[in-house]
Amino acid sequence: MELPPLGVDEEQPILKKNRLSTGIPDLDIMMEGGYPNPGNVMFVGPTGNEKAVFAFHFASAAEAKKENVIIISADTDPQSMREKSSSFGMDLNGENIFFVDCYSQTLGQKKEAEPDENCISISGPGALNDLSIALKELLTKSAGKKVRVIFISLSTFVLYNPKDSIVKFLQVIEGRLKNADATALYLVEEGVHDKQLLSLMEHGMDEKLTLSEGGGKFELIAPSLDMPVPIKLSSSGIAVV
Amino acid sequence: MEGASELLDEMSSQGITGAIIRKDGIIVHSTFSVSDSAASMLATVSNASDALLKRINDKPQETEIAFGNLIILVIPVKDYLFCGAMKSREQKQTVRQFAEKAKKLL
Repeated sequence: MELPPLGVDEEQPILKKNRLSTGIPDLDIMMEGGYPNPGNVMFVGPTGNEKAVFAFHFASAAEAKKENVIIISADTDPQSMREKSSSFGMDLNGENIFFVDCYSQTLGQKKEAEPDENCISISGPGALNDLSIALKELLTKSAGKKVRVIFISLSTFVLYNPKDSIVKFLQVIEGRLKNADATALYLVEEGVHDKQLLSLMEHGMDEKLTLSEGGGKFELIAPSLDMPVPIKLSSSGIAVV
Repeated sequence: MEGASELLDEMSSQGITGAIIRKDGIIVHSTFSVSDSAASMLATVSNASDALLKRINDKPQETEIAFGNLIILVIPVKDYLFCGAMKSREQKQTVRQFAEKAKKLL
Protein backbone atom coordinates (compact mmCIF):
# COMPACT_ATOMS: atom_id res chain seq x y z
CA MET A 1 0.00 0.00 0.00
CA GLU A 2 1.40 3.38 -1.05
CA LEU A 3 1.53 5.78 1.88
CA PRO A 4 0.90 9.52 1.41
CA PRO A 5 3.88 11.91 1.82
CA LEU A 6 4.94 12.59 5.41
CA GLY A 7 2.53 15.12 6.90
CA VAL A 8 4.97 16.66 9.37
CA ASP A 9 8.21 18.59 9.14
CA GLU A 10 11.16 16.20 8.96
CA GLU A 11 13.38 18.36 11.19
CA GLN A 12 10.72 19.36 13.69
CA PRO A 13 7.91 16.79 13.54
CA ILE A 14 5.67 18.71 15.94
CA LEU A 15 5.03 21.07 13.00
CA LYS A 16 2.34 19.73 10.67
CA LYS A 17 2.61 20.44 6.98
CA ASN A 18 -1.09 21.28 6.70
CA ARG A 19 -0.49 24.36 8.83
CA LEU A 20 1.10 27.72 8.10
CA SER A 21 3.44 29.38 10.55
CA THR A 22 1.97 32.14 12.69
CA GLY A 23 5.36 33.85 12.55
CA ILE A 24 5.71 33.35 16.31
CA PRO A 25 7.95 30.26 16.81
CA ASP A 26 6.73 29.35 20.31
CA LEU A 27 3.12 29.60 19.21
CA ASP A 28 3.82 27.45 16.14
CA ILE A 29 5.02 24.65 18.41
CA MET A 30 1.97 24.96 20.65
CA MET A 31 -0.37 25.00 17.64
CA GLU A 32 1.51 22.12 15.96
CA GLY A 33 2.58 24.28 13.05
CA GLY A 34 0.35 27.35 13.15
CA TYR A 35 -2.91 28.21 11.46
CA PRO A 36 -4.70 25.56 9.33
CA ASN A 37 -3.76 25.52 5.64
CA PRO A 38 -5.89 25.79 3.68
CA GLY A 39 -8.23 27.40 6.13
CA ASN A 40 -10.17 30.40 7.37
CA VAL A 41 -9.29 31.69 10.80
CA MET A 42 -11.26 34.27 12.74
CA PHE A 43 -9.20 36.24 15.22
CA VAL A 44 -11.32 38.09 17.77
CA GLY A 45 -9.83 40.53 20.22
CA PRO A 46 -10.15 43.88 21.94
CA THR A 47 -9.23 47.17 20.30
CA GLY A 48 -5.50 47.78 20.31
CA ASN A 49 -2.37 46.87 18.41
CA GLU A 50 -2.18 43.22 19.39
CA LYS A 51 -4.39 41.72 16.67
CA ALA A 52 -2.66 43.72 13.95
CA VAL A 53 0.75 42.64 15.24
CA PHE A 54 -0.36 38.99 15.09
CA ALA A 55 -1.26 39.73 11.45
CA PHE A 56 2.14 41.35 10.80
CA HIS A 57 3.89 38.27 12.19
CA PHE A 58 1.77 36.05 9.95
CA ALA A 59 2.50 38.18 6.86
CA SER A 60 6.22 38.55 7.44
CA ALA A 61 6.64 34.79 8.04
CA ALA A 62 5.81 34.05 4.39
CA GLU A 63 8.63 32.41 2.46
CA ALA A 64 9.11 34.80 -0.46
CA LYS A 65 9.62 32.15 -3.14
CA LYS A 66 6.87 29.80 -2.05
CA GLU A 67 4.18 32.04 -0.62
CA ASN A 68 2.34 35.25 -1.42
CA VAL A 69 0.62 37.53 1.05
CA ILE A 70 -2.53 39.54 0.36
CA ILE A 71 -3.40 42.16 2.96
CA ILE A 72 -6.87 43.67 2.64
CA SER A 73 -6.77 46.87 4.59
CA ALA A 74 -9.90 48.77 5.51
CA ASP A 75 -8.63 50.68 8.51
CA THR A 76 -5.39 52.20 7.31
CA ASP A 77 -3.38 52.73 4.12
CA PRO A 78 -0.61 50.30 3.08
CA GLN A 79 2.21 52.76 3.74
CA SER A 80 1.09 53.38 7.32
CA MET A 81 0.78 49.65 7.81
CA ARG A 82 4.32 49.07 6.52
CA GLU A 83 5.62 51.74 8.90
CA LYS A 84 3.71 50.31 11.83
CA SER A 85 4.96 46.79 11.15
CA SER A 86 8.54 48.00 10.85
CA SER A 87 8.24 49.61 14.29
CA PHE A 88 7.81 46.03 15.57
CA GLY A 89 10.75 44.80 13.50
CA MET A 90 8.71 43.25 10.70
CA ASP A 91 9.06 44.00 7.01
CA LEU A 92 5.99 44.17 4.76
CA ASN A 93 7.90 45.52 1.75
CA GLY A 94 8.59 42.20 0.09
CA GLU A 95 7.71 41.61 -3.56
CA ASN A 96 5.47 38.77 -2.46
CA ILE A 97 3.33 41.03 -0.25
CA PHE A 98 0.31 42.60 -1.96
CA PHE A 99 -2.23 45.05 -0.61
CA VAL A 100 -5.84 45.70 -1.44
CA ASP A 101 -6.30 49.22 -0.16
CA CYS A 102 -9.94 49.80 0.78
CA TYR A 103 -9.12 52.83 2.90
CA SER A 104 -7.26 55.58 1.02
CA GLN A 105 -10.05 56.42 -1.41
CA THR A 106 -12.54 56.87 1.42
CA LEU A 107 -10.37 59.83 2.51
CA GLY A 108 -10.44 61.24 -1.01
CA GLN A 109 -6.75 60.53 -1.51
CA LYS A 110 -5.67 60.69 -5.13
CA LYS A 111 -3.58 58.01 -6.77
CA GLU A 112 0.12 58.44 -6.11
CA ALA A 113 2.40 59.77 -8.85
CA GLU A 114 4.39 56.55 -8.61
CA PRO A 115 1.81 53.82 -8.35
CA ASP A 116 2.54 50.98 -5.96
CA GLU A 117 2.75 47.85 -8.13
CA ASN A 118 1.91 45.67 -5.17
CA CYS A 119 -1.25 47.55 -4.31
CA ILE A 120 -4.75 47.58 -5.76
CA SER A 121 -6.85 50.47 -4.55
CA ILE A 122 -10.63 50.17 -4.40
CA SER A 123 -13.25 52.77 -3.53
CA GLY A 124 -13.90 51.59 0.01
CA PRO A 125 -15.00 48.75 2.29
CA GLY A 126 -18.51 48.93 0.80
CA ALA A 127 -17.27 47.87 -2.64
CA LEU A 128 -17.44 44.13 -2.10
CA ASN A 129 -17.65 43.34 -5.84
CA ASP A 130 -14.47 45.31 -6.52
CA LEU A 131 -12.79 43.61 -3.59
CA SER A 132 -13.84 40.22 -4.94
CA ILE A 133 -12.37 41.08 -8.38
CA ALA A 134 -9.12 42.36 -6.84
CA LEU A 135 -8.79 39.20 -4.76
CA LYS A 136 -9.40 37.02 -7.80
CA GLU A 137 -6.69 38.90 -9.70
CA LEU A 138 -4.17 38.47 -6.89
CA LEU A 139 -5.03 34.81 -6.42
CA THR A 140 -4.47 34.22 -10.13
CA LYS A 141 -1.09 35.94 -9.78
CA SER A 142 -0.32 33.62 -6.86
CA ALA A 143 -1.13 30.37 -8.70
CA GLY A 144 1.17 27.56 -7.62
CA LYS A 145 2.09 29.27 -4.36
CA LYS A 146 0.55 29.09 -0.93
CA VAL A 147 -1.28 32.29 -0.05
CA ARG A 148 -1.66 34.13 3.23
CA VAL A 149 -4.64 36.48 3.25
CA ILE A 150 -5.32 38.99 6.00
CA PHE A 151 -8.43 41.10 6.51
CA ILE A 152 -7.60 44.15 8.65
CA SER A 153 -10.27 44.23 9.76
CA LEU A 154 -13.33 42.20 8.85
CA SER A 155 -15.32 44.31 11.35
CA THR A 156 -14.93 47.38 9.14
CA PHE A 157 -16.37 45.52 6.13
CA VAL A 158 -19.26 44.36 8.30
CA LEU A 159 -19.99 47.94 9.40
CA TYR A 160 -20.02 49.22 5.80
CA ASN A 161 -22.25 46.50 4.31
CA PRO A 162 -25.71 45.03 4.92
CA LYS A 163 -25.66 41.84 6.97
CA ASP A 164 -26.93 39.63 4.10
CA SER A 165 -24.30 40.95 1.69
CA ILE A 166 -21.41 40.37 4.04
CA VAL A 167 -22.56 36.85 4.92
CA LYS A 168 -22.89 35.94 1.22
CA PHE A 169 -19.54 37.58 0.46
CA LEU A 170 -17.84 35.61 3.22
CA GLN A 171 -19.40 32.35 2.07
CA VAL A 172 -18.00 32.82 -1.46
CA ILE A 173 -14.61 34.19 -0.39
CA GLU A 174 -13.98 31.51 2.22
CA GLY A 175 -14.52 28.76 -0.35
CA ARG A 176 -12.49 30.50 -3.02
CA LEU A 177 -9.56 31.07 -0.67
CA LYS A 178 -9.54 27.46 0.48
CA ASN A 179 -9.55 26.29 -3.13
CA ALA A 180 -6.55 28.53 -3.75
CA ASP A 181 -4.62 26.79 -0.93
CA ALA A 182 -4.81 29.94 1.17
CA THR A 183 -4.92 30.54 4.88
CA ALA A 184 -6.99 33.61 5.64
CA LEU A 185 -6.86 35.51 8.90
CA TYR A 186 -9.91 37.68 9.58
CA LEU A 187 -9.39 40.20 12.37
CA VAL A 188 -12.61 40.95 14.24
CA GLU A 189 -13.12 43.63 16.88
CA GLU A 190 -14.48 42.33 20.14
CA GLY A 191 -17.82 43.71 21.29
CA VAL A 192 -18.65 45.46 18.01
CA HIS A 193 -21.02 42.92 16.45
CA ASP A 194 -24.20 41.38 17.79
CA LYS A 195 -24.19 37.71 18.75
CA GLN A 196 -26.25 36.54 15.77
CA LEU A 197 -24.02 38.26 13.25
CA LEU A 198 -20.90 36.96 14.97
CA SER A 199 -22.31 33.42 14.75
CA LEU A 200 -23.00 33.89 11.03
CA MET A 201 -19.46 35.17 10.51
CA GLU A 202 -18.05 32.22 12.44
CA HIS A 203 -20.08 29.73 10.41
CA GLY A 204 -17.55 29.10 7.64
CA MET A 205 -14.43 29.49 9.75
CA ASP A 206 -12.15 26.53 10.40
CA GLU A 207 -10.77 27.94 13.62
CA LYS A 208 -11.52 30.79 15.96
CA LEU A 209 -8.83 32.41 18.06
CA THR A 210 -9.76 34.75 20.86
CA LEU A 211 -7.50 37.25 22.49
CA SER A 212 -8.77 38.06 25.96
CA GLU A 213 -7.60 40.89 28.14
CA GLY A 214 -7.71 41.14 31.90
CA GLY A 215 -5.85 43.68 33.99
CA GLY A 216 -3.58 44.62 31.12
CA LYS A 217 -2.57 41.00 30.54
CA PHE A 218 -3.45 39.12 27.38
CA GLU A 219 -4.26 35.47 26.83
CA LEU A 220 -4.75 33.64 23.56
CA ILE A 221 -7.49 31.03 23.44
CA ALA A 222 -7.76 28.57 20.55
CA PRO A 223 -9.13 25.06 20.04
CA SER A 224 -5.65 23.83 19.12
CA LEU A 225 -4.25 25.15 22.41
CA ASP A 226 -4.77 23.02 25.50
CA MET A 227 -5.03 26.06 27.74
CA PRO A 228 -5.06 29.87 27.41
CA VAL A 229 -1.59 31.06 26.44
CA PRO A 230 -0.35 34.27 28.06
CA ILE A 231 1.20 36.63 25.55
CA LYS A 232 2.72 40.09 25.65
CA LEU A 233 3.38 42.79 23.12
CA SER A 234 6.91 44.10 23.05
CA SER A 235 8.98 46.21 20.67
CA SER A 236 9.78 43.06 18.69
CA GLY A 237 6.15 41.99 18.45
CA ILE A 238 4.20 39.26 20.17
CA ALA A 239 5.97 36.94 22.58
CA VAL A 240 4.61 33.96 24.49
CA VAL A 241 5.19 34.66 28.18
CA MET B 1 7.76 -1.95 4.04
CA GLU B 2 9.62 -5.19 3.63
CA GLY B 3 10.67 -6.96 6.77
CA ALA B 4 8.88 -4.62 9.18
CA SER B 5 5.98 -6.92 9.91
CA GLU B 6 8.35 -9.90 10.37
CA LEU B 7 10.38 -7.81 12.81
CA LEU B 8 7.29 -6.92 14.84
CA ASP B 9 6.16 -10.57 14.75
CA GLU B 10 9.55 -11.62 16.10
CA MET B 11 9.27 -9.07 18.93
CA SER B 12 5.72 -10.23 19.59
CA SER B 13 6.97 -13.83 19.98
CA GLN B 14 9.08 -12.51 22.88
CA GLY B 15 5.98 -11.17 24.59
CA ILE B 16 6.24 -7.56 23.43
CA THR B 17 3.68 -6.28 20.99
CA GLY B 18 4.59 -3.26 18.94
CA ALA B 19 3.89 -0.87 16.14
CA ILE B 20 5.73 1.19 13.59
CA ILE B 21 4.08 4.57 13.19
CA ARG B 22 5.12 7.45 11.00
CA LYS B 23 5.86 10.73 12.77
CA ASP B 24 2.63 12.14 11.32
CA GLY B 25 0.65 9.41 13.11
CA ILE B 26 0.02 7.02 10.19
CA ILE B 27 0.31 3.35 11.20
CA VAL B 28 2.73 1.38 9.04
CA HIS B 29 2.60 -1.98 10.85
CA SER B 30 1.26 -3.11 14.18
CA THR B 31 0.96 -6.23 16.29
CA PHE B 32 -1.20 -4.60 18.94
CA SER B 33 -4.57 -3.08 18.46
CA VAL B 34 -3.91 0.60 17.93
CA SER B 35 -6.58 2.89 16.50
CA ASP B 36 -5.75 5.73 14.12
CA SER B 37 -6.44 8.27 16.86
CA ALA B 38 -4.23 6.43 19.38
CA ALA B 39 -1.40 6.30 16.81
CA SER B 40 -1.80 10.00 16.20
CA MET B 41 -1.66 10.67 19.95
CA LEU B 42 1.47 8.54 20.33
CA ALA B 43 3.08 10.54 17.53
CA THR B 44 2.01 13.81 19.15
CA VAL B 45 3.51 12.80 22.51
CA SER B 46 6.81 11.85 20.88
CA ASN B 47 6.87 14.95 18.65
CA ALA B 48 6.11 17.18 21.63
CA SER B 49 9.01 15.59 23.57
CA ASP B 50 11.22 16.27 20.56
CA ALA B 51 10.15 19.94 20.45
CA LEU B 52 10.66 20.30 24.20
CA LEU B 53 14.18 18.89 24.13
CA LYS B 54 15.16 20.85 21.01
CA ARG B 55 14.73 23.98 23.12
CA ILE B 56 17.68 22.86 25.19
CA ASN B 57 19.60 21.65 22.12
CA ASP B 58 18.98 18.02 22.85
CA LYS B 59 16.87 15.30 21.28
CA PRO B 60 14.87 12.47 22.80
CA GLN B 61 16.29 8.96 22.67
CA GLU B 62 12.95 7.51 23.66
CA THR B 63 9.65 8.43 25.30
CA GLU B 64 8.06 6.20 27.91
CA ILE B 65 4.33 6.21 28.55
CA ALA B 66 3.40 4.23 31.64
CA PHE B 67 -0.10 2.99 32.42
CA GLY B 68 -1.26 0.83 35.37
CA ASN B 69 0.21 -2.42 34.09
CA LEU B 70 1.42 -1.47 30.64
CA ILE B 71 4.40 0.53 29.45
CA ILE B 72 4.71 1.86 25.92
CA LEU B 73 8.18 2.79 24.78
CA VAL B 74 8.35 5.07 21.74
CA ILE B 75 11.71 5.28 19.98
CA PRO B 76 12.23 7.69 17.06
CA VAL B 77 13.81 5.94 14.07
CA LYS B 78 14.32 8.33 11.12
CA ASP B 79 10.82 9.52 10.06
CA TYR B 80 9.16 6.75 12.07
CA LEU B 81 8.39 5.83 15.65
CA PHE B 82 9.12 2.34 16.83
CA CYS B 83 6.70 1.47 19.64
CA GLY B 84 6.84 -1.46 22.02
CA ALA B 85 4.12 -2.32 24.55
CA MET B 86 5.41 -4.28 27.51
CA LYS B 87 4.42 -5.31 30.99
CA SER B 88 7.79 -4.85 32.66
CA ARG B 89 10.51 -2.22 32.42
CA GLU B 90 13.04 -5.05 32.14
CA GLN B 91 11.82 -5.59 28.58
CA LYS B 92 12.84 -2.08 27.52
CA GLN B 93 16.26 -3.24 26.41
CA THR B 94 14.66 -5.77 24.06
CA VAL B 95 12.53 -3.05 22.47
CA ARG B 96 15.65 -0.90 22.00
CA GLN B 97 17.40 -3.81 20.26
CA PHE B 98 14.47 -4.27 17.88
CA ALA B 99 14.39 -0.53 17.20
CA GLU B 100 18.05 -0.79 16.19
CA LYS B 101 17.17 -3.59 13.78
CA ALA B 102 14.28 -1.49 12.42
CA LYS B 103 16.73 1.30 11.60
CA LYS B 104 18.13 -0.87 8.81
CA LEU B 105 14.68 -1.47 7.33
CA LEU B 106 13.22 2.03 7.52
